[in-house]
Amino acid sequence: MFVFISLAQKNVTRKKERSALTIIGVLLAVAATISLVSIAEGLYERLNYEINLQDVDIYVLPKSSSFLPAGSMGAIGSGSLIVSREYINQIKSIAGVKDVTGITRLLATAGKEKVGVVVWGIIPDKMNIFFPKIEIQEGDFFQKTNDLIIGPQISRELKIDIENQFPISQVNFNIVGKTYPVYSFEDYACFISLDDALTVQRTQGVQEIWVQVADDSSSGEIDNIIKTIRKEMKDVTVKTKVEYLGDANHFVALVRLLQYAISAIGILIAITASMNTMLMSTYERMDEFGTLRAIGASRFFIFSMVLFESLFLSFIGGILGVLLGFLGSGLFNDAIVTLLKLSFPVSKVTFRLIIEALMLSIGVGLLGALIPAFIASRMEIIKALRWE
Amino acid sequence: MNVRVQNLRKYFETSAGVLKVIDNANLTVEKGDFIAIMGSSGCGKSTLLFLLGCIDVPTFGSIYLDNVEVTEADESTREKIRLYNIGFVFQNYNLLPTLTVLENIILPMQLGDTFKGQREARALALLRVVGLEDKRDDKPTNLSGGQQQRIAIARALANKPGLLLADEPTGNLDAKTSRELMQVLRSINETQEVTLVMVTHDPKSASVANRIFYLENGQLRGTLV
Ligand SMILES: Nc1ncnc2c1ncn2[C@@H]1O[C@H](COP(=O)(O)OP(=O)(O)O)[C@@H](O)[C@H]1O
Ligand SMILES: [Mg+2]
Repeated sequence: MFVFISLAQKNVTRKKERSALTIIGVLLAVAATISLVSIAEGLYERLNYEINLQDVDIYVLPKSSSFLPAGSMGAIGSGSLIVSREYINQIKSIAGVKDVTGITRLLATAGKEKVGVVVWGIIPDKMNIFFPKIEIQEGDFFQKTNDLIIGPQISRELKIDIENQFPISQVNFNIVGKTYPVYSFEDYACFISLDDALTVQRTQGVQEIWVQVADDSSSGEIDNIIKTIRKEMKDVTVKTKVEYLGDANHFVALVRLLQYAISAIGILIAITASMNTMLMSTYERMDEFGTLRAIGASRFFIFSMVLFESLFLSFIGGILGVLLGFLGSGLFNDAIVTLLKLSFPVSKVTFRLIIEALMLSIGVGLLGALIPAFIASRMEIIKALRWE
Repeated sequence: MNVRVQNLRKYFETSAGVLKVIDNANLTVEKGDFIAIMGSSGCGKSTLLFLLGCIDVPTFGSIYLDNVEVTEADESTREKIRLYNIGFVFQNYNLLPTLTVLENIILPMQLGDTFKGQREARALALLRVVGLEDKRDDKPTNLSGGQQQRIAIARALANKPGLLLADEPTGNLDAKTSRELMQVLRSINETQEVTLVMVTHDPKSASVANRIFYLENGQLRGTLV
C-alpha cells in the first residue's frame, strides 16, 4: 500500500553526503528559528508571570491607549496618555470596590554606568495589597516623602543599599527598604510613592488605576463595576485581568511573528537547499522513475515517493534542529542573562514551539520537493527511460 | 493475450524534420505465441515495443490487446494495463538498485496490490523459474548482467501478465549467457501461458522464437522460422 514510503526511505541513504547536507540545511533553519522564537516564548512567560504578580481585578487605562507591555517592561512605552487622579477616589466610592491605587512608572538612570531603572509609583500603603508576592526583606515600606524601596538585583548591581541615596531626576530618594527577589523585572525595579512619582514627572495624571473587587470570584460584580466606571468616566479604557493578559499575549504574538519573519530567511535557504537536493537526485534517477512508470507505477506514486524522500530528510533535520535549537536557545539565554545580569531566564523552548518547528521542517520538505516531484511524475516515460 | 497492430505510425518531430520511425506497421500475434522482431540499430524496435507496452502513444493507428483498443485509453487505464497485463524486460535490466532481488520481484505485486499474503512465496517461485533462488537477498548491482536480466524477467512476470515484451534482452550479454537466457524465455513461454514479443538484432536469439518479423523503413515484414 505505502511502498513509496519504503522506497523513499531507501533512496535517502543512497547519497549520504548529499542527504546529510540537506538535513544540515533544515537543521540550521529550525535551530535558528527555535533559538530566536524562544525569546518570544520567554517573553510570553515573563509577561504572564509579571501580570500575575499583580493582584488586580480591573485595570483602568487611558482611553485609546494601545497595548503597553504590562509591568515594569511598560515603563519605557508609557507615553503621555494619563488617567485623571480624581478617578482614584471616584472609583473607590463605587459599591463593591475593595481597593484602588494609581500606578505610574518612570525611568530613572542610576549608577556610574547610567543603568536604566524602572521606578513604580504606587500609593504607599497599597503596595503589599496590589503586589502581595513582593515582600520586604530589609527595612520597611515607604512612608515619608522621597522614601524608596529598592529591588534586590538592582541593589546588588549598583552596590547601593538601605540608608543610601537614589537619585531620580535630580531628586535624591532615601532607600528605606529592600524587597525579596521574585525572579522577575521587579527585582530590578524601585518603588516610590505615587505622589513623589507624579512630582518627579510633573503631572497630575496616573498611567493606570488598579482596582480590587471585594468579591473577586463574582464576574457579575466585576462586570457591574466595569459598567459603572465606563458610565462615569468617558475618557478611560477598562479591562479585566483576562483582557489585560490577552493584550499582553497579543503583543507577544506580534513579537513571535516578527521573529518568525526574521528566521524566514533561514527557512527560505533551507527550502532552496532541499529543492536543490531533490532536483539533483530526481534528474539522476529519471530512468528509475521511467522504469517504475513503465511497470505500472502511477504518477501519484512517483510524486509521493519524491515527496516522502524530501520529508524524511527534512523531518530528520527538524528533529536534530529542535535538539540544536534547545542548545542554541540555552546559549542565547545564558549570554543575555549574563550580559544583562538578569535573575531570570529570557527565553524558553515551549512544547508549542517544538511543534511549530517540526511543522516548519515538514513545510520545508514539502515545498522543497514540490517542483522535483512534479517533474519526476510528469516526465514522459520514454524520455525518462532514455534519460542520460 | 493476443496482440493486433493496425496501421501503426509513430513520428518524432526533430530539428531535422519529421522522423517516421514506425510508418504503417501491421502485426498479429496469437495468444501464447513467441515472436521475435529484428532490425538494425535505430530502426525503431524499442519505439515499437514501447507502443505495444502502452508506454508511449502512436501518432496514428491502433493496438488491440485481447481485442481491446488500448491507444485511446486514458493514462490511468494504460497504467493498469502496464501493471497487470504486460511485463516489460529492458535491455539494461532496469532493476531498482536500492531493493534486493526479492524486493524487486515483489514490487509489481505491491504496486498492483496483488497476491497478498503470498508475495514472497510467488517471488521465490519466479526466482526458481529463472534459476536464481540463492540470490534472493542480493542487491542487483552485485549480480552479473545475465543474472540481472533473469531477475528482470522474474519481475516482469510478477503480476501474471498475458504479454511479455522484451527489448533486446540479450543485447548486453555474451553468446553463452544469451543462449541460456533465451532458454529461460523459451520455457517461460511454454509453461506460463504468456505471449512473448521480443525485439533483438541478434539472429541467434531470434531463432528461438516461433516467428521472426523484420522492422524496416518503419514497416513489419513477417517470415516463418
Ligand atoms: N523521443 C524521441 N524523439 C526523437 N527521436 C527519437 C525519440 N525516440 C527515438 N527516436 C529516434 O527514433 C529512432 C528509433 O529509435 P529506437 O526505437 O530506440 O531504435 P532501436 O531500438 O531500434 O535501436 C532513432 O533514430 C531514435 O533516435
Ligand atoms: Mg532499442
